[in-house]
Amino acid sequence: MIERNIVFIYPLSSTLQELKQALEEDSNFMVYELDAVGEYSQLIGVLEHSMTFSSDLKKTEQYLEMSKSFVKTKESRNILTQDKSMMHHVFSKYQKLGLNEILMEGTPLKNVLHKIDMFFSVFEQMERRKEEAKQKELAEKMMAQASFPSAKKEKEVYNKNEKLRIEKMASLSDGEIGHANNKKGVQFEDNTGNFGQGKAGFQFGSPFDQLQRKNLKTFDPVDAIPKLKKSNFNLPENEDLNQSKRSKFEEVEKENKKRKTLNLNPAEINQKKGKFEEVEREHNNKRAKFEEAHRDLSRRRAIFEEQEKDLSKRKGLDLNAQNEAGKEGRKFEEAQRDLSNKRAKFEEQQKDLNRKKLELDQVEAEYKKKKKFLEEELNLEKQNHLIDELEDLNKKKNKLIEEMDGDLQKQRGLFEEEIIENKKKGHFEEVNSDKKAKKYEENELDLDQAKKNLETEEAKGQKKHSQFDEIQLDQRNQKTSMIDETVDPKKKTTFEEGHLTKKKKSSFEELKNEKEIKQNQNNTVELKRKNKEFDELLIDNLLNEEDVLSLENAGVYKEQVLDYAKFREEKRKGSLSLTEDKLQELEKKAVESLLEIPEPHFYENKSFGLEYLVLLNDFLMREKVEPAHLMKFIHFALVKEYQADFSIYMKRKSTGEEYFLQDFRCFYHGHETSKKIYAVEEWEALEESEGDEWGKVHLPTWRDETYQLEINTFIYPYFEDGELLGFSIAHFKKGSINNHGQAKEVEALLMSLKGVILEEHFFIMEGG
Amino acid sequence: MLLFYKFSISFLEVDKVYSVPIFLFDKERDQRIIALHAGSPCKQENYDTFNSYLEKGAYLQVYHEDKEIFLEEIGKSIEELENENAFFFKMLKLEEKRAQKYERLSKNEFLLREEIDNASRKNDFTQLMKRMKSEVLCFSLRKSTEVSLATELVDKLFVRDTMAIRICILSYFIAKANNIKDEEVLSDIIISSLIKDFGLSLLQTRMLQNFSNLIQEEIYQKYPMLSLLILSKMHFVPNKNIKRLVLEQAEQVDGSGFPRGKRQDQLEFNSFILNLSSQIIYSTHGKYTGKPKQLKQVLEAFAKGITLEGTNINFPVNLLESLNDFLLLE
Repeated sequence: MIERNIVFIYPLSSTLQELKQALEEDSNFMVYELDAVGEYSQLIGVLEHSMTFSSDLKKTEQYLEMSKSFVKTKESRNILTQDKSMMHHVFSKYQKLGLNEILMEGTPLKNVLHKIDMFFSVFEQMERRKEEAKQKELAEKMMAQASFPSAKKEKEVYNKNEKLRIEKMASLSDGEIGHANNKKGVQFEDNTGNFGQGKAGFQFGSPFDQLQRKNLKTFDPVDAIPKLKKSNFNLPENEDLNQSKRSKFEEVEKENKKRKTLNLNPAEINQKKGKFEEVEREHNNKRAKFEEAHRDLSRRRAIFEEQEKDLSKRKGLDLNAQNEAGKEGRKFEEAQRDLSNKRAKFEEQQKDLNRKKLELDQVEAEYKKKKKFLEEELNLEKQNHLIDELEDLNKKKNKLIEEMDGDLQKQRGLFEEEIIENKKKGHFEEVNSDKKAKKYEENELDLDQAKKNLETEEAKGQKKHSQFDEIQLDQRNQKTSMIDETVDPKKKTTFEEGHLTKKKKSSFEELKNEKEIKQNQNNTVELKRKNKEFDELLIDNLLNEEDVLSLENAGVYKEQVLDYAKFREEKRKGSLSLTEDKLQELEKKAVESLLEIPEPHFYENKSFGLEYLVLLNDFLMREKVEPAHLMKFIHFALVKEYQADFSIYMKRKSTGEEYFLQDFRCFYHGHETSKKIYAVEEWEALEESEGDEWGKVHLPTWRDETYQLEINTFIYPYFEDGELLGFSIAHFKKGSINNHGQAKEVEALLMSLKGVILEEHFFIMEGG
Repeated sequence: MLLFYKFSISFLEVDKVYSVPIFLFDKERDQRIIALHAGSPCKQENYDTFNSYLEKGAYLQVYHEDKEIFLEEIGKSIEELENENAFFFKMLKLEEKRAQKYERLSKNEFLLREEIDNASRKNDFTQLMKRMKSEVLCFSLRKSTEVSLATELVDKLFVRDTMAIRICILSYFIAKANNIKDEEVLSDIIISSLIKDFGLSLLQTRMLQNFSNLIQEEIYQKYPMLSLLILSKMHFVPNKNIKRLVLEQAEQVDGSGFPRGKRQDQLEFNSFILNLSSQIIYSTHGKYTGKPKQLKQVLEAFAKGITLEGTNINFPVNLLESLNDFLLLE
């Protein structure tokens, strides 16, 4: 029996799962389940016969490509299960890789099992045949051995003789040979050095010792000790042996030979011996081969076990236990079942893992989204933070400015207090006042300097500028309000009241102080005016900000923070006037985008006069076809569409005269019935004057193809087998036919009467 | 709504500056270019170039948002501009009118099996005709000449319950039963079913009296070609599909048809629809046997693959199976 190996490569389709279950229950099969394609090449190498099932096309391709050398053999069969049949060229591609068959999903289990059985049974049969052949061979060998008993006997006899010979020789060593040696002791003396030790001490240097003699019964002397072979007993030629002894020895030898020759034919023995040796050699060779194969198999098994161990290590399963159990039959099966259960669990876990991985991916995607969103928010926050910082900075600046203003006020207050004190004391001196006024101016200048410094700072910090400007605006507003307060009439009155009380004290001082106050007031008014101007400028700038925003919306001018200082600068330079060009550019772009708008197409609802032909067809399909109806219908169509009249003339049987009315007869007289274009009399005159020409027209002809004649004529001749049968003549008033399209419609309408003309022609021909 | 108003070159004056852009649409290339940018003068050379383009079928346009300014500048009325675009407005009006009249009808509940049953019992196709007409007249007029022609033919012809119209109706519903929903394909089937027998008018009328023996006439076997001959004389140039359907209307699956004896794999599926509907209607009118039959009976026979006298059931199986959609379930 061969090992029936079935390999399943995951994922498995429902059919394969069913098959796997069925095979697992069957003890004849070894089921291997593989997840990774990489494992397949390791496994397939150690499987002698295998069938591989897979349901994933990609994995199939992978495992076939990876294990080309193994899967393309006859010993392995690769089957793919699929829902749909595969295109022929695609299948041939996989076939080249080693795919043997495609099973349709839903193939009955029975069929699949039968296929598997068929595949393995072939090998089993082959194996059986081999076994039989082997047995036969062995039997033959046995027979061969049995048929040559003489060879064995010969050997036995030979061995026996040899035994006897050696025994004899041994007995001789005790008596005759020893005596002989004694006699030629001089010779041996040199060699052994034992000479002179007396008889008792004399020992013959024979190759046979006591132990050998003892083992002689079980001992095969010829085979075991090649030294003892007869050929090794050649004594040195120059050795002077006792001739008598030698002759005795030779006699024994002769006797032996005689005995041998008595029992066996030596040539025959040699021949049989050669055969026997040959068979034995063959047998040994085969055994060697077998042992080699066995060794190879065990090596492969060892490799597989190692790989399986690795696998189990990787998958956290104890495959060793399985291997051990494999030795113990049932235990192995149980272990295998456990393994499959574990594998199923592992798969489930893997599925869960995959699912979780998917979830993780989703979560990750969400996380990325949120992260991005948060980053954006963070950036915004950072920006806000920066703005906050700027605000703080501005506040600090405000404070500084306020402090400076406060100092100024203090100084001013001190100055005023001094004036008041001076007024009080009456020690007001013009020079002093001038000095203090200068000081005041100096302070003012310092303040301006500080502002200028701030402005330079402003130029350095670009982003902070706008806010700083705003703050400056606020500051100025505060200042103006503060100044307003100082210029406030109410406050002014109180201020003046104070002065008035003091006026009473000294009129001279009053005059002096009034000058001072007026000067101060003038200064404050001037300051107020300047501030107002500045505010107006700022308002202007704010108005321009709207413009900027509109531009920003239009995509022309984009910035995050409006830099008013820069904006003012740009406005001063006149660079903002460029926006008009940009607007023009925008307009141009908008116009260009209009070029892409598709042009709507309407297809005119024309019928091309087809409806008349359809209706004519309907006449033709009626139970009884009346030619007159057909002609009338065409006339109706011509009248309706083109206000035309038409008549049909049929050719008479040839009279030989070239007179129209004798050659042709009017078959349908539309002109007479309609009377729209020609009166009856007019028509008769026309017949006479133009009739001859009408009969000579062989092609559909318009008298005026520009359709400009007051009455245009169209003649349509009917031919059959080159013979003129008749013609239709139609007349159109100017304007009813304007183009070739209409002319063609008329032609088709008249053409459709060919059947009627044919009918009439044959009727005439038949003598009707 | 018209986005670009077409106008003739007479609307323009040489050396005049127009404050709106003027476009030139090349019909052949289906491409629009800016003829005059806003604020640029229309010089004599521009004028001449426009003229040469207009002679080749191009036309001048103004964008609808600019039309008021443009009309003010050229001193024309909106009516004059609309007259220049009369075809568009005419078609738009027609489309709207048709939609208004037939859209609701086409979407009403329609039980095909029951209507076929009624038509069969009463030998009256009026309801089927009305339904088909309402559906076809809702086809867009902006798709192709064939679609517009189909709508026009249906509009003009679907007033009488004639045999040709019945064949057309049956072809249409069989096509729909076979999941043919594309307006252009349906239009091809409608046109072909109406014009396919034009060639019969070129045969001796007496031949048509004996319909059962007609197949033996050599000239009859050429009538699909004669139909195409008549069509070639007309101003209307049928597309390839229509020509094919007309030519293959009498071919059979097994190659036993005429005029070319083509087999199924060489034939267009829709041509079998024409053939089948013709055979069904001819059978109901007793063209083959002289005895009229009920539509339902004929449909049942074809659906079951039963050969009626004079008919040939060599049709694709799925086509015959689709006839079950026309039969009331018992």
